[in-house]
Amino acid sequence: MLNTLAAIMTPYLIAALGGLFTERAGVLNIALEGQILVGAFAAAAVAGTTGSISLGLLAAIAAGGILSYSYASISLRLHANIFVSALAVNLFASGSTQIASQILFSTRGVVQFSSFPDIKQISIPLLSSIPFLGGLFTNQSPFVYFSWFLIPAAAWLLYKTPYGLRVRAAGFQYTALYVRGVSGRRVRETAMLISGITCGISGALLAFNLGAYVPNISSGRGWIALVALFLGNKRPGGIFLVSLLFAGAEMIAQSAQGSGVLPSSLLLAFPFFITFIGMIIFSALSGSLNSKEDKS
Amino acid sequence: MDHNSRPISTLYSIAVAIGAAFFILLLMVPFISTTPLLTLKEFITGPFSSSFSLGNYLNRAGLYMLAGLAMVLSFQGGMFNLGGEGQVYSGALATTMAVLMLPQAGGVPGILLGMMVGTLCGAFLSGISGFFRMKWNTDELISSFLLSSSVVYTIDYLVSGPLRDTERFLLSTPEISPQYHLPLLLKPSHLNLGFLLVILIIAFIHRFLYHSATGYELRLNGLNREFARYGGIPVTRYFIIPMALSGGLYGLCGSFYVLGTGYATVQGATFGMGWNGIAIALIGRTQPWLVIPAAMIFTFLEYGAESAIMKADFSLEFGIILQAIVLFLVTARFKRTLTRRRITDA
Amino acid sequence: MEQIPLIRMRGISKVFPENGVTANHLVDFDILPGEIHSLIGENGSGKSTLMHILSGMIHPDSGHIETGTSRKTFRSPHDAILSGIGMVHQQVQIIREFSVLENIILGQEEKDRWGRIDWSRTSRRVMHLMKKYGLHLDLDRKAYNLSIDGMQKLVLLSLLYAGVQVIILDEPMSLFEDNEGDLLQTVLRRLKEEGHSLVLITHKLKEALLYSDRISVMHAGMCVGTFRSSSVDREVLSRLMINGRSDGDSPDAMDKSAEEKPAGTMKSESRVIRDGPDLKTGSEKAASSPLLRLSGVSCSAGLLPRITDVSFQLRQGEILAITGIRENGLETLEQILTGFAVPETGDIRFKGERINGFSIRELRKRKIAYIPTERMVRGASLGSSVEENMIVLNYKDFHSWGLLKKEEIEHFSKTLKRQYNIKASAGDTLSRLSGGNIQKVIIARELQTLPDLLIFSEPSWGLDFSGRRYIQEQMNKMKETGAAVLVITSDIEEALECSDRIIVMYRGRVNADLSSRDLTKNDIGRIMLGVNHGS
Repeated sequence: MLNTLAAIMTPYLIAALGGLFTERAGVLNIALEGQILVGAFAAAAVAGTTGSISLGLLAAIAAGGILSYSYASISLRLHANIFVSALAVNLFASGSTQIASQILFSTRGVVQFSSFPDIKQISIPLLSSIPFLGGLFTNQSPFVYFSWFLIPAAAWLLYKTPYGLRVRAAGFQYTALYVRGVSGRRVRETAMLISGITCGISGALLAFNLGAYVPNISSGRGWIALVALFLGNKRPGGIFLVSLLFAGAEMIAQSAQGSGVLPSSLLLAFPFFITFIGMIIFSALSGSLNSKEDKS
Repeated sequence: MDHNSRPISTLYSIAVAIGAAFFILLLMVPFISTTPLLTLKEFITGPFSSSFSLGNYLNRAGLYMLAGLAMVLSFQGGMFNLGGEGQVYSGALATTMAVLMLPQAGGVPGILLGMMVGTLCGAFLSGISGFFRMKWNTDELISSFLLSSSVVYTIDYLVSGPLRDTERFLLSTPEISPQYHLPLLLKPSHLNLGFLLVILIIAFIHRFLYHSATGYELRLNGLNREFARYGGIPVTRYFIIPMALSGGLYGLCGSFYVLGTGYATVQGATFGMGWNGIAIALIGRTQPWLVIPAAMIFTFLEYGAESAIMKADFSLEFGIILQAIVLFLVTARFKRTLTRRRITDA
Repeated sequence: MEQIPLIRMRGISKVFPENGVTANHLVDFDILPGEIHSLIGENGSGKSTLMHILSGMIHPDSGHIETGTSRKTFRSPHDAILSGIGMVHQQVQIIREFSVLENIILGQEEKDRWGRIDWSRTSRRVMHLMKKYGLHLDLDRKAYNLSIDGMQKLVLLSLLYAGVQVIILDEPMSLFEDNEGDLLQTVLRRLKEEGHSLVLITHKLKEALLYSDRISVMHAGMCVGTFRSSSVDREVLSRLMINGRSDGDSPDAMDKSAEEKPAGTMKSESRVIRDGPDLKTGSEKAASSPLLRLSGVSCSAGLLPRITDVSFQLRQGEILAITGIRENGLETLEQILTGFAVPETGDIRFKGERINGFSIRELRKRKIAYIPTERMVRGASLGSSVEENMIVLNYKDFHSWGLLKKEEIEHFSKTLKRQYNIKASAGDTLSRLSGGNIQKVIIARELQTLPDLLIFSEPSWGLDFSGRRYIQEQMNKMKETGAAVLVITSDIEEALECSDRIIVMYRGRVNADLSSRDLTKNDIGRIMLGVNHGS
């Protein structure tokens, strides 16, 4: 069971850790959803046709990265409202994946492949023999291990490197950067690139798990990743804990759906509503952290 | 930012928005259609090809005007209501349910009741975000969006499940009875009294904003809240009021849809009204009367796309993409309007 | 003795498109190595713009900057810093949540082998700099704790860390002044000794003459003269500042009743009015009961600096100035008096009524007017029309049942414009007016309510000489009608010049409450530092 929990948690964790940088840089990035979607499609399309997981993964990274970087660049340079343009991106992502699906695979529905490559499950030798916890290290997709590695990596990048310092500076007082000769815009663009890459990976994960591409495969995970970010107090450790929580919730929800207790569209409302509540609680507790200071 | 919008600069902004959309369309059409000329012809003449088309075109433009007006109020009050989708949808459902539960007698009071219920529903949903902004400085842009999205999915579920009219092949509630329909103006199209009512509402809102004390207070809060505070103008209530008014108009939009066009709440029927409201308000530079030309043009684009889809082979997804691009461009172009909301230093 | 300039600015011109103002017109400006060069001028003379251009914040329309033998174009402050030029702004931007050290090195972080920030090497370098220049700060403290001059030191250190050679200081006097006036001198001297060149932007003549080697005067966008400070005096400088010429009377003064009055005679003017037995001039109301009385007021709410046991009175027909260092209680006092903060203990009584915690709206109803600092943000809506700005205090009179009384509004604004000599056309957006006219709109609006008490915060901020004189006249007029004015100012000279009585705050307490006639600037300076007033 721990196994499944970790597996479910992984896409949220990876996406959220990327979104962490944009959040800390002072950009509200709601295009996580769209980025996951294009990543999933690219991964499925390339892996399905070439039979190579690695190529699929690369495609996902490229797709997510290019999408996020370009829309961030354009929005920041033209001073567009980043939230509204992110919404446009999400719309755009869903529309264009459908079109691409139609053009490449002649279908707007599920895209299946004759032979889809498998991900080899890996077990870590010593650790898998630990009683109880050992289950975590047995027969897991390498992505799971990667996501755990990502936690300290993100913390290191954010708190120890010059780039991380600038990201946090941008989040606290964007206007202070210009006089110091730091391009706040570039800091934010890079943060978006990071989030695009991680979301791409997250999407690839989803596609690889299914072995196919399903329309709306992300179904709200981008939003949940955002909540995890908020409720996790915008720190890697917090994000981990909240992702764990949500993974548990999804496990329960999945069994509920299987047993026909809760209908699927209501399930879709769930992440949004939870995010809403989470936001309110967060702002009640943190006073000015969620404030409306200049986020331009 | 020039508060008194000069006519020329407004025409210019509208021209840019249309120009951009057309340009993109021209670029896309050859790639996606096997009969590009036919597609373009249908696109441009579609709305005017018959009185049916024309009526429907005006009808939808009217709904979009109301949606645009909703955002005008939001922006003028310095707030960003991003929950339009849910507010319109909930207004539609509330109206439908209210009217369905009424006895089979009396048209006009029933209609009025329906409108009131729809308005209140939308106002409430939006007002919640305003309240939390006032109380805990929660960004209303995000909270309104999140709440609205969960409402949309919830109503989708309700309409396809517990509230569904199983005899209709659509995923929809039962139809409201004919005595509660708004009178039609141009048969056989859907153009109805609602269109004229919208014009009246625009006139009223203009009056309210520029000729009343409350309107003055609201606008000043939107322009410079600090100034309002130091000048002794009430401030706290103007986090909630613009949001509630905005949500109310969105809800009313949903009501008008049900009472005048759809006669029921069909799943997804009101999709896009929220987003388009934003685009229209921005194209019309957040001036009440200017939502009329803005909506007319915007609807023209949408309507043209649909004709092209039906009669030529333009596809639906491109319509969505076109919409996304216009939305994006509109916010990029009109950055000055949006920065009214975020006070940066002079 | 001909030195080669380190920096040459040639033919610098800049017109701001937003309001068509010519900020700089063909300005030439040189900086010699190792000199302290003051750039003086009234507000709006273009001195700040010129230095913003030099430091890379603004791009000139024409002209160029030469450093050494090459011409440079600065596209951002970063470029200027790379060329060795840096500026310490009046409103410094720091990151409160970061430590002092993190703030200093932001943008110039040193990395170790692994790509991490090398804190030990960094802090060693910074500490070395602190010792070298005598600028001491606690590196590990969070920056939000810093006082204003602490913040300035921080920025200075970060510039020095970047290896900047030419340092521009914007109004350093107002911050180091009288609190640690000697500290400023020490710092300037150290910097000069280490070979830096300094440009001091200031409007204070005495300090400019005292501290600098050379002085350049800006007037109406042009540089009207550069002198060795040993060869000019205040007279010449003021005339240049105000008229652009060093001789004779000037037709330029804004005020119609202009007579050439060098700075410092405002006091004698007001003295003339005050002369004779107190309070018998034109205004009756002998000193029966005070208009405003504070007793034992204390407040230590949240983020505001605390004030303790503040008591004073203000009578009708009196101008009282409360002065001190802004963070030593002025800000708090201002907020308490205007309803933006509530005192914990003590009484504030206006005409006998207790007004603790009354909102600004309620205070205005009782005929208290208030002109805050940051007037462009708190006192005006730049995006609205002039008329809309003018009616903000009495808009309800012009709106009734959805009917806008347009003619009445027009009449009202025309009257105000005439009375206060405001240059604006009907329907103009406020942002199109000049800074001085905007201030007039703000002041006119408050004064037309005929208040009994005017609370005026930092009157001279954002105003030039004629503007300040204008305000003084308005305040004197109020005196004559028996109203009272409470001026809250951190500028000692202003306090002395405009008021009858002065209260000096120090560390949140009232340290002195005296007639301004009996004080000199040095007295106040000492009181502000905590030394008790002797005679």
